Amino acid sequence: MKKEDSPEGSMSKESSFEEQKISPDDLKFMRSAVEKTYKQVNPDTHTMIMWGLICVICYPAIYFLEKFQLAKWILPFFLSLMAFGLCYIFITWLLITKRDKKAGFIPLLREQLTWVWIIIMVFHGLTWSILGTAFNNFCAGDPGFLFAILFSIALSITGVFHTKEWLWGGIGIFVGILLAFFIKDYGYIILGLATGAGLIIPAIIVQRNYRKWEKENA
Amino acid sequence: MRKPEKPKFDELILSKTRLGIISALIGGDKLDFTYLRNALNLSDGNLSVQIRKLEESGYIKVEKIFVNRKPKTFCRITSRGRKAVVRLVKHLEDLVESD
Repeated sequence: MKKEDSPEGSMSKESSFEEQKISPDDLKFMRSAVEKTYKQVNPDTHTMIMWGLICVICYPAIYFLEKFQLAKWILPFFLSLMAFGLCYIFITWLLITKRDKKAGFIPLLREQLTWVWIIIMVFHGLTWSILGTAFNNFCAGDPGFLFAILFSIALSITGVFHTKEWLWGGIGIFVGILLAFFIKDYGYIILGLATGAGLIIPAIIVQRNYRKWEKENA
Repeated sequence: MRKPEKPKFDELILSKTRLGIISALIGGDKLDFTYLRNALNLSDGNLSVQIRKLEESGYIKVEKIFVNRKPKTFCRITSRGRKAVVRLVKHLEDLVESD
């Protein structure tokens, strides 16, 4: 292989393979470069667990508040839980970004998945909830079902990009939505359990798998 | 019958160190100077020269990010750099087939 810092190394100059002579050592070097810089992305699943818990609390709470004719408390309760969840996500995101920058490794996967979740949950979720409320549910939509569907879609996309456990979570939530649709009386309780389980169970499995991988490669 | 032409190789990417840097960045992650230096076992001077060459040719993008008020140099592969790697692999495949 040609000498590294030769002044003749002009940009995008092409030469035949005979002049270059790749040695097995060079190939080994390239392989080690890929291996050394390959890193599993820490899934940081505590945010998913947090949102799973919020769903487990929020949906049944709305059901019971409605059942016991305390509907006026639904919106403040829902908004305060949402605000808490969003604050938690934002602070966690800041800390993770800082940690990645400090380590000198900013994974592309995390950036892509962050955008997927922002687009689905923030842009679609909040926009349709606000529009629905502002125009008196003009689309006859139910924010509870809407958010469950969005969680299902976002988890399925995460499953395609990251690991299949998330995809199973997304499918589980979708099955829960179908069940809730047909058993309307207990719809919110089913949605709460399905969304919570769909977020929490894959999160625990993914984090456990990551820790296992980390131990094996320590 | 005319012998098929031997493929031409992009010298810039065929260099051991530069291909090492590109290989490390091919996943799309942003890696900083220290991370690359430790992973590739290169000296500061050599790595900075190679990074500059790759940046000038548009194969990688270099950005300075402040962490705890200290600047860190992060590198990321560009679509041009990715295409160059794909071209190199294609050329190598052609070479194997022509033999």
